Amino acid sequence: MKKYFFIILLFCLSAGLSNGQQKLASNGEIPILAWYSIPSGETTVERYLEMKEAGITYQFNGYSNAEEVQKALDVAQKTGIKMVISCPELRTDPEKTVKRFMNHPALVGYHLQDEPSISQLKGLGEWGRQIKAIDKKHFCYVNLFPNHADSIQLGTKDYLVYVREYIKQIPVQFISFDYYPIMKDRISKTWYNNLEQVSGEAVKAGLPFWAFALTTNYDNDHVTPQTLAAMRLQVYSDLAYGAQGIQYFTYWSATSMNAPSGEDQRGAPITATGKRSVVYDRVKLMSQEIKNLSGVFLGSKVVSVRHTGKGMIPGGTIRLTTLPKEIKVLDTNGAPALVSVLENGGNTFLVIVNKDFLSSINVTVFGDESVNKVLKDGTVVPASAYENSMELDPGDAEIFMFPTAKK
Amino acid sequence: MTRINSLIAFFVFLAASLCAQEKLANKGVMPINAYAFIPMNQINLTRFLEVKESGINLVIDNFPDIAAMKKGLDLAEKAGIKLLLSCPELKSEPEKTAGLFMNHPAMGGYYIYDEPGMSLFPELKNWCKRIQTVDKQHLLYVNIWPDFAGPSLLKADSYKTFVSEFLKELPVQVVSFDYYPVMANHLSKSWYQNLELISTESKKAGLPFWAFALTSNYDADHIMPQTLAALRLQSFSNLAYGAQGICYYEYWDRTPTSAAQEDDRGGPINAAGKRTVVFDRVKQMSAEIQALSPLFLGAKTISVRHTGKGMIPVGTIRLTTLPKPIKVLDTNGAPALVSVLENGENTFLVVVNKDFLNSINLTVYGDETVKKVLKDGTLVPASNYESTLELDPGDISVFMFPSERR
Repeated sequence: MKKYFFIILLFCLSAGLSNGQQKLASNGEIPILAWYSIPSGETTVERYLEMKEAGITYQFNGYSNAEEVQKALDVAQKTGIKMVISCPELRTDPEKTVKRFMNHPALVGYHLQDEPSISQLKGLGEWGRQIKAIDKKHFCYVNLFPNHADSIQLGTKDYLVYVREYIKQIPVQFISFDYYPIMKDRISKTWYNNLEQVSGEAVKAGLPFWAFALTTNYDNDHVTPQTLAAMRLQVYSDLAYGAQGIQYFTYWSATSMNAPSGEDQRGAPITATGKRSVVYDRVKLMSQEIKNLSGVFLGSKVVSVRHTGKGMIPGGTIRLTTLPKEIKVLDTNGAPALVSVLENGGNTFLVIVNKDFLSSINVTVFGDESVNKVLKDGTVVPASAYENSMELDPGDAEIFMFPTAKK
Repeated sequence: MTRINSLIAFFVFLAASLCAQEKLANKGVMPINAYAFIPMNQINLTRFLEVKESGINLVIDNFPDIAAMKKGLDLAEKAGIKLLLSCPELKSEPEKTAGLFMNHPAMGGYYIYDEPGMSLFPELKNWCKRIQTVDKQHLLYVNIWPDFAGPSLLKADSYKTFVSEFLKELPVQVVSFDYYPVMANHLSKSWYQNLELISTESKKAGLPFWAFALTSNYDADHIMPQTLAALRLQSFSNLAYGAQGICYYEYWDRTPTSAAQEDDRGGPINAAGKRTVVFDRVKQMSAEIQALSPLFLGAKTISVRHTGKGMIPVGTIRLTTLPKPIKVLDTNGAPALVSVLENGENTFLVVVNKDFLNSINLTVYGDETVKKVLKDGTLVPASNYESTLELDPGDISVFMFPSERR
């Protein structure tokens, strides 16, 4: 057996040289916010490090009082996680509460309300302005209903009126809406229309928007447990539409004991008993991919978002009919895909998302010599290094990059 | 300033202790060998760096002469990979050729022969001995047939005789055999039996063994293109049986220019020199192998067992007992490979999902000493995770606990 240790030794001694590969430049990272993060009774450095390991950068949880918020902020600071805070005192005595926390290094924003109706927007706006009068630096956060909410929930029959009133009334720094579109064997019909609506209104208002990926079971109609493909489809569709933040719902499985709304959410990265589920490892991988590709999406300008496929494209979306001049051929052989063109820095990015979360598709792309391919780890290689037809995994994204044409 | 320095030191310590996750201790690099078949006009630094990017660290390619071999080795050194020496002069003038290259930093060993029949063993033995008169240190690489090869290929009456003669006759340091078991919708029946035989015979001979993962289409009966699940099932099954090196067949597609040549498609690099989707999958596979190599490199195989409600593969043994720290292991009837390995002071329980098309649910309950080894080599208490977890097609789940003192 001595001989083989020598062979192993040979490999041990073979220190690798650096490849000097080109990596995507980025000015930062796409924020990843976890809903129902760590319950107050579990506020420890170990738990926050575990959440950080899953790639989560911002956390939100409803706390019973300001003392719990203080404790969580102090622990979050030690681990490099930022917090969107929420406690009753923020409502009853905003001035005092904001002054108490506004200089805490782990504070990133203030949570006002989830899914308000239109009648609540005015009050939330006043509350937000009270906070802003003291603290202009940190954001006020209000998350909106999706477009399938009924008129009783919205307080209006027109979803766009709801979104516009929200933008008008509340001093938010970004728009947030939730939609959990991945059912067991299909995608909800209005999801992409909702992305069109929110991204369209966000551009008009000059605000970024944040969107969601479901990381729990939700209900029996949704895919269970969450797969990497389902998460990729949500995240990459959001980002292809220009989202500047991704939110996971939820991090910790909610029960009536720890969820403020009394919801019973199972199948999250951490179970109700505090154990990691298989979704924890999938979320960790998903977060790493988002981080690696932040240079594509963070601060990008959406030029166009189009849909392709032999069937009907989703209501409210536009069919792909033209390509940037650097891309000569783009063919999915009739499979459903999302094709987005984004500008960032001096570069243009063509993002193709496989909208099938159950099957892979074949994507054929021919580009000119200026086109590079952005790999999942953020490495940039000439697109010509790869075959023109490639299998694209379920829900996954393929990204090409070329210098932006001078106008 | 003293106070500031103390403060800085405190924060550095705090940051380090907060970030320091327990990882498997690094023991070196797992050899990942590839039948590369890179065309001679493509032997350059860029291509070798591309090989390295895929995670391959040992390359087999046939060079036409000494000058080309020298150029290849020099470029391999720059790229940080190793080559197996293969050129006509190694056959015609073994001592002189070995002497010429044995001290080259990119020298990974000598490529002797692929799939010889038993009648060739005396000739190969003589060749190896001549090389060893000059260089006893480097690997002599001979890859042998799988167990379904017939007597006309083996030139022996049985596979067992063939392997036993191979080990008796040839002064190799590694036993390597090829088997491409992942068909479009099933596994070849005798694959695990072949792994049983090779792992047992190599153990008896005091030698490590290397085994293969198919990275090309091969033929219409095999899965194509190669999936990550298929690559994982082959690589992790090999490693669970104790393999000390993984070989990829092949890296660069070949187009025959004569009827005698093979037509291999679907490799990581196609015949036109373009990366295929398999390149990215091989890259990920290689990274996973290296992340877990500390548990496999130099490991002692205690047992390899099979489980599942159907028949277990012929020539294998059913799982009937578990190490003491593991209280429950249940796959709900799904087919899995369960291996127990010892490495250093620790014992590892390795579970491989033998279904390369579907995930399975794996339930494991262990005592408080049991840790879970994550795919990146991080160690966490197993109790941090749920006891029942979905295991992806072909994928692996690894648990670690201190070895029992005897």
